[in-house]
Order: sequence, then C-alpha cells, then structure tokens
Amino acid sequence: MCSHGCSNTNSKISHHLCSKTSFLPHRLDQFFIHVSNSMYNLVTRLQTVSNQALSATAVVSGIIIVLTLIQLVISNVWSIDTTSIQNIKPSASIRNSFNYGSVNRKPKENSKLSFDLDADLSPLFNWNTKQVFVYLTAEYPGKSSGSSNKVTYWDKIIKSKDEAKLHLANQKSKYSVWDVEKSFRGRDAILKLEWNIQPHVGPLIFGETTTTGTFTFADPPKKS
Amino acid sequence: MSALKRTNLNSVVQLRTTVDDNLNTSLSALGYNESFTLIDTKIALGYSTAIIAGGLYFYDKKYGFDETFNLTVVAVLAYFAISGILWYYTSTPQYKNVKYVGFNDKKEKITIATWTSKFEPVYYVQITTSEGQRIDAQFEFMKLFDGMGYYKEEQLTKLIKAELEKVNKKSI
Amino acid sequence: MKVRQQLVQFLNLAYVLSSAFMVWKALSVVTNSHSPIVVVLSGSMEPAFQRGDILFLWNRDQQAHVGDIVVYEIQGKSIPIVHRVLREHHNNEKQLLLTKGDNNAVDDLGLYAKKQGYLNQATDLVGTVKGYLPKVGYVTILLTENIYFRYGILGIMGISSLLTQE
Repeated sequence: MCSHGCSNTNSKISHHLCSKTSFLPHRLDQFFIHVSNSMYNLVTRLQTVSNQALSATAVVSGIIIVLTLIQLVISNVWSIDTTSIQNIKPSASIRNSFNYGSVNRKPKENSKLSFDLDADLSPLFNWNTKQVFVYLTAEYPGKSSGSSNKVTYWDKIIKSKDEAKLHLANQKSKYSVWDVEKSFRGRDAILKLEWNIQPHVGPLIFGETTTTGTFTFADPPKKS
Repeated sequence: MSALKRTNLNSVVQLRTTVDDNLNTSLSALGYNESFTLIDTKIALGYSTAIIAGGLYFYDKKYGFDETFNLTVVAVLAYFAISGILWYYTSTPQYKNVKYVGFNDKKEKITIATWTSKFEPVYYVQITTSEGQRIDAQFEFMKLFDGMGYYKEEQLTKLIKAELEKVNKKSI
Repeated sequence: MKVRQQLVQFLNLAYVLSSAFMVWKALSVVTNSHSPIVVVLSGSMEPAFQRGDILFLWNRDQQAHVGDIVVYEIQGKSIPIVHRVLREHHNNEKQLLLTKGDNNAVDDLGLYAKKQGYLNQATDLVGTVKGYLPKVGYVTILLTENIYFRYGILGIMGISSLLTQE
C-alpha cells in the first residue's frame, strides 16, 4: 500500500526507545523533534488513508460494474420486444436558415415525422440506473456507395421506473432533420428505438428494442 | 558531520536512514573501500527516466498530442523498460535493500543489505561475502544510539566486526 | 557519497512526478486521446453528468454511433465539450457528426466554429465516453477554482515533502 517505509506509531516502541529520556519537551529542540514527529506521522497516515481510499474505490466500482451487468443480462434487456412503432407520417419543408442546415442561404430540405409509439423500458431500471436516455433513430443510405446516415427524430430522458412505460400517440418529432446533401426525398429509412443506460457508477450501456418501423422521406410541398 | 546530528528516536525509518548513511564509515574502519558501481548504475538509470519524462513533457507542450504521437509511444516504452531494469536492480532478492558494496585489500567483496520492520526498533542486516557466505544479524537501535538520539558509529563497527569474525572462524 | 545521497533524494521526488506523468501518457497512447480522463465542468448533460463527475474516454473507435456521448474540441476554442451524437453521416472516407447536449434545447451548431455545420469524427473528437465515476473529480474543480483549497493542499504537500525523509 504505502510505497515508502512507514514510520512507526506504536507507543510501546517509543517508550522502549526513549526510556532513558524524559517525554516532557523541556528543551526547545526536543520540542521541535516532538512536533515534527507527530506531523510526520500525520502526513504518512494521510498518505496511507488516501491510498486505501483509492484502492477501495476501485474494488467497490469493480464489484458494482460486474453485478450491474449480470443483472442486466438476467433481465434480458437486449431483446425488449414490448415495443411498437406505428402510424409513421413523414413531412418535409424547405428551409433557408443556417440553424436548419442551410449553407449560404441555399435551400435545404428538412424532414419531420409524427408517429405512435408504445414501449415498456422498465427492465432497464435497476439499483445502478441513474437515467435512461431513449431515442428514436432513422437510418437511411446516402447517394454514393458505402455511405450511410443515421439521424435522431425524437428523444427523452427517463429518470425513474415510473416514467419508463411510453405511450405516445401522434407524437411530433422533436427535431427537424436535414441531410448532408441538399435533398433526401424518396429514400427509405428504418426507424428504431434505441436506449442508453447511464449508471450511477460504471460503463455506459447501449442497446435497442427489437421493433422497427419504415418510412420514405416525403417530398416538400410545391411552391404555389 | 552526521554523527553530530540528532536522529528522531520515534521513527524507525529515520533511525535506519542514519545508520545506512554511516555504513561507509564503519566499513572503512574495517578495511573496506566502498564500490559505487551499483548505486551509480541506479542513479544513471533513474536520471534517464527523469530526462525522458521531462523531455516528453516539454516536447508535448510545444507540439501537441497529435504531432508527437509516435515519439510519445517510443518515450513511454523506453520509460517503462528502463523502470523495469531499475526495478530489477532495486527489488529482486539479489539487490533488494542493498545499502553498501565494498572491497577490501584482498579484493574480497562484501555486500550489505539492511532493513527494518514497521513496529520494531531493530536493524536487520544481511552481509554477503565474496565466497557467497551469508550472515544474518539483528542490531537493536538502542545499542546504536544514545538516549538523546546521537548515533554511536563505533558500536556498529564493533558489531559488524564481531559478525565477520564469526564467519572467518567457521571458514577456518 | 554526499552528492549521491542528494542525487538519490532528488530522484525520488522526480520519480513521483515522472511516473504519474508517464502513466498518464501511456493511457493517452492506449486510448489514442490526449485527455483520456476528463472532469465535467458544465451542466449541459444533466442529469446524466454533473459538475465534478469523472469520464473515461476512448478514441480508437472507427466510427461514432448516434447516441454516443463524445468529448470534442473546436479549433480556436480551448474548452472541450461533452455532448451526445444526434446525427451521423458517413461514407468510406469520413464521418460527420452533429451533437447536442441532453439538457440543451437546440443542437450544437451555435457552439461550433463559424459556418461549421458538422464535427469531423477523425479530427475533432477527444474521445468517446465509455465509463463514469460520480463526483470524484470535484477535487480538481476545487483545486482550480478555490484558492483556499489550493493553497491548503500545497501547504500540506510542502510540509509532507519537508518531513518525509524516504
């Protein structure tokens, strides 16, 4: 633990060694030795305590992490099937603001959705769950081969098990989505409900529910 | 000089340090010359780790992480390799706690390792001679210091001399 | 002899500093991140991360995923930011990311450099958050922001170095 030799703090030895001399600090240098000795002991003790605290933190964290993972595997969280994503209605618009992806005021296609969603994410909550971040993503191909995109339409922070059952009807997407390219109308996308467990201590854990939904990016309304 | 300094009688570590620092005096009284090869090797290795770390610190500060990545890899490997060698010379049984290496006029080597345990005021000594003989001895600090904390070096000389004579008698 | 003693004494002090620094650098090399362990300073990811939490980063992922929490740096701005990946667009050559703080109303476009629409996964990330330890980093916040605490610690360390002989 303590990398350097520790001074002794045992009164028996002090007594043994000092048996020929008085303990009373009747001379100033004697007094200084006395003070510096107790300070020295205090510092070495502090060092030992902080070293032990560090090791204890590491061990406790390790145990917590292992127990949490075991519990999540037992609750089978990576195949939650109590989910449905339905009634997906995409819409589109043209935006010219930088905050909606437009560069130099060039028109940029933006996509929104409305959807129904049912999900029971309560298995994700256990004693080491600080929060669950749940997000609805759409994955779709790009123009060139090998290119792919994934965007978030909606997300939510769930802080407790009571809020973990989601029943959303005609929910509007939280974000207005644009692509790297000017337009992405007509492309097919796959919707997924994904989650991220934030533990009180330990690794971030990610997963997705088994249900998917599909839609095609809408054409923006023609200018009248 | 150090013989005039007082040592804190309540700290076993400080008692041991004082005696360790004065081993050379006692052994030269017994006709030994200290050899600094081991300690110089350790100092050289130790300072090369310090130079590597210090150099990397300033190089990294000047050029940033991405620019210096390859050099950082080399420096990290070198640092831990040298630390490993240093560890070999300080912590393997052969070298552990070695405080003194010396030769007498007949070129006979003597190696002295010393240590203390936490709660005992006892100076543990292991003397290894060039014939590979090993002497284990324990000296109480009470015999090596007076009640005020002044070190009595002639006491240690006497004790070591006695231990060495025991072996010589045996070998004869 | 005396010189050697002093050299060794100085070496012991140097070794404390250099070993801490080199372990940090070794961790940097392994994680490929210049700051493999960071302390959260702001509340934009609350309640996931709060001030003083410690994050462990990894920067060897080929690609970031939507939902990952990443630490990124914008050129010309010195403070790294911890936010979640909201979108990713990639082809065979590179990956572009748009991020957002869970607790922020809007995405990070306003935090990026002027006219910068995306982060570049290969060059802008300090790392992806893999693990988390609550509150322990508050010590470093106290060290940088509270002068009484800083000088208190410095004082204790000074006294300890004076009194520790070995």
